Amino acid sequence: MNRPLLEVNNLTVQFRLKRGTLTAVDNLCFTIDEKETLGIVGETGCGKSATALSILRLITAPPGRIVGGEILFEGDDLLKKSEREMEKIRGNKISMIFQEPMTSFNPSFTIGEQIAESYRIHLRHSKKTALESTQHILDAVRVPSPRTIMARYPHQLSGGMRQRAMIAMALSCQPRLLIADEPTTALDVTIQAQILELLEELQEKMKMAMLFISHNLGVMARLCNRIGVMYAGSLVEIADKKSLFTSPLHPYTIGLLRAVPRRDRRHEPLKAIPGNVCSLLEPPPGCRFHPRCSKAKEICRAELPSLENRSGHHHPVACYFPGE
Amino acid sequence: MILYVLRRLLQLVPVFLCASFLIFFIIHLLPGDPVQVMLGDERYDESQYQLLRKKMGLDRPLYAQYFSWLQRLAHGDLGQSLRTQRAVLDTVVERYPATIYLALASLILGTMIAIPAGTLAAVRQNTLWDYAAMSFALFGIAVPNFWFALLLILGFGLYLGWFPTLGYVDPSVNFGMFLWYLTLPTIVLGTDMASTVTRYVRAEMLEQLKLDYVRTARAKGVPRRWVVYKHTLRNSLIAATTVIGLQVGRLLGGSTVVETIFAWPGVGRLVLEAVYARDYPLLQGAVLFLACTYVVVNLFVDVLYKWLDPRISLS
Amino acid sequence: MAEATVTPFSQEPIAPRAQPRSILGRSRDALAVILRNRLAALGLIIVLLTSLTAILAPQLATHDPFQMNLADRLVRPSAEHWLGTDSYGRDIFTRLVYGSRIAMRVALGAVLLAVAIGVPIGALSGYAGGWVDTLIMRGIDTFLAFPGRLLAITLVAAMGPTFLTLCLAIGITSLPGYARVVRAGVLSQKEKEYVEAARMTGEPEFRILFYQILANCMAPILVLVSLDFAHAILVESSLSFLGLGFPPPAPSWGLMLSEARGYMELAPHVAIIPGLVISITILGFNLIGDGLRDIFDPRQYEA
Repeated sequence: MNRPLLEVNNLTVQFRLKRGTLTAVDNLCFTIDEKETLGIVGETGCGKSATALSILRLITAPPGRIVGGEILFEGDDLLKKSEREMEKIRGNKISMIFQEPMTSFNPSFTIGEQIAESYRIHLRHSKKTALESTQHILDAVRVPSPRTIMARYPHQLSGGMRQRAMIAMALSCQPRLLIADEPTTALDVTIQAQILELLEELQEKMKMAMLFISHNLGVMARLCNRIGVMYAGSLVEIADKKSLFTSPLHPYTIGLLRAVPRRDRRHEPLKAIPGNVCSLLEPPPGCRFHPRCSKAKEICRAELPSLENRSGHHHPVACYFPGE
Repeated sequence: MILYVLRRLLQLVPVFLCASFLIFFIIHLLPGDPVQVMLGDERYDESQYQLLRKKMGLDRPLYAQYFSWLQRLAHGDLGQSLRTQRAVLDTVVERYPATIYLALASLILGTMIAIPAGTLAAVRQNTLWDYAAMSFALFGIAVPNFWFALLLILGFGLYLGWFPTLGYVDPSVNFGMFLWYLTLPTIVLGTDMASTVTRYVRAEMLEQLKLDYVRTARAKGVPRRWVVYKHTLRNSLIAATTVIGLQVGRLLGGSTVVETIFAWPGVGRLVLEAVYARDYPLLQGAVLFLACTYVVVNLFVDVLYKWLDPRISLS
Repeated sequence: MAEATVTPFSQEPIAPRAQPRSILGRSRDALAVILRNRLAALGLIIVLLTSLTAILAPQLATHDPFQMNLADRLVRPSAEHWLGTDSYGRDIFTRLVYGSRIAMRVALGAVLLAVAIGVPIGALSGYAGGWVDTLIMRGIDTFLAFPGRLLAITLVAAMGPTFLTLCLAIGITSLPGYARVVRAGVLSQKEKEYVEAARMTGEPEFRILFYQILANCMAPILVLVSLDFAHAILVESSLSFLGLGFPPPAPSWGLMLSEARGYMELAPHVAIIPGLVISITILGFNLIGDGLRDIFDPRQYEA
């Protein structure tokens, strides 16, 4: 069996704030194989964005800091690389797309210039070649009349178009891994579907792996092979898509699935998960979810459960009493 | 865009009228009798006095004088100097080039200092570079122009003898000498301007560096240097045009103090000369001229800024 | 029950610096905060010293500021004359001390005038809106049509150098700043719900306005005041230098420098010392202004 493309081992990321140290990511472990799509779902603040940024070492430091762990990409630990080496990887081997396409582009340069920049930096294209390549990639993301779009400035494009341009920019050097941090959250529902379809198609074509981050399970259902659920900085469950939806194990996952409105359960009231996310500055002892869990027992309050395969259950889960 | 420019130009009219009104009435509060100044030390009798007064139009009520002044302004006539009998406009235009040279030189020196200093301070925030740049800026703001000028004269002029301490040579006469005389005044005004602009550039760069597009650029693998000097600097400079433009406007308004100390024959000094000589037509005309140029320059800078920012010019 | 938390990621500053930092970077940030506070403290000390000097001038002075002593002209700093004497044999230290009175008085007058006129005008303009607003703002713009010191010079030249005219000349150029700030503050709060609520409970318009200003503009007004003080001292000394300030033998700092010009080579201390005093005083007010500005700005990183 080939080694995974990306291997995250015991990643811990902290933020030093005035009121204390906040652990955004706590001993996180997961892998992504080549050509597979791993989704990470969780609420705002659960640490999924921090994880994504850590892979590319883009955490603002200070106040953020990658405290421990390793991130193995193609066998190399990214956390041990120099800044220059990372610059060669970003946008080249690993790319990232963000949630807000408007503010993510430089307002003073045309779209074309900004996409061409990737070609010029990593593939050393000349200005002319870079512009040609830009046109091609814009074609690939189904942007109508690429030449016109290339000459436009970011504020002149619609949200959907901008996101396509961002995707084009990210895929320009054919990365092995694409990290998508909530790429459709800021878009209209109809555009969302288009972008997801586009990502699906491109991933197939370019044979790349993808880390898809969202708080929306429905969006994940389409693209991902495996899905991991994050809560308060840790992965609480990780499984292939089918298993997660048909037999969720962690109470939080179960709660999430129940809270999604479904057409076949139209007349049932939506079941929200009681309570609020715990404080990341002073998390509760033991299992982070226990204050909101109806099944919580003594051991849940005392010891933090680790993410592992539990007897009789299909996939790894961080809970002492998994299942319905 | 064009519509915006036209609209702004139209707005200039009421400002101009108000300003002229203000100038006129302020100056007519000037103590001292211009008629007597004209007559000088010679003995005169009442009838001569009245005659001259009538000739100068000073016997008419103030508002009448104001309107006839406005009328003449509409024809481009800024009046006549009491002292020299020359047209005010001619005198001002004659003295303006000196101010322009000084302004331009100071602009060049100022930006050459401020932009690198501000950028460096932002990129190396809280290091020695930052402290050095900010200290420089702070002292530049606190130290009065005229004192700095005196210190320079003392040091470079009198003790070291490297530069002349006052005077002016027209560039067409001898360019080398012109530059030599230009040096000290330029240092004063240039560093003055640089202080304000440095702080602004630094603040702007720091703001820009926090924005999303910087993160995207880094995620693309753009080398650090490029991120700063290509991406953020451009946006910061666009924002900085307003500040720089404001400084240029002030410089073009003539720095009275510096011009006086260095005996630089610009319009700033002209204003002071007019004040001393109680030459109120000259003072009036000169101040109005300077106010107008200032307003026009500001308008130009405004439009320039809007043109440079793609978000505004292409919406 | 677990408490709700303000997740840092909702306002996550994930735009990295161009230069990623380490522990060294964090200590630098901490040092910078301390330094900024120290600077502001220094500014406060300077301002307090200057104010005290102005108030206690007669007590602090060693000589009579107007007493000429042609035998002892241009003396270097000595035991008898702490900072030396000027070209008329007058004690420089004493003149500086009395000069602080002039500087502080004029600055205070100018700032008070600017605030007393600018704040109400700005408030009226913002609150009334419509053509009143436009009219007032255009009027303010008139004052902004004059570059640098031009208006001040013209005014002082026209009205003669009295205390009132100096305050007016200097204050008038700062006036628009206050008007703008207050107007912006009023505009931002005008449509808020609590204003509607206050109106409905029958609070008089004036009181609503008053509290709005207090609530919103106090911060920028204070910053502006400190910076304005610095500016006023600068302009007053500039005008005096040009001979447009209080006439001799007034111990105005700018005038002292102007009188020193002819003797610079002989006795540089006469030109250096008053300028130093002016610079330090202006610096003090600037530091306070900067410090205040730092306090009122929202903090981005809490390191």
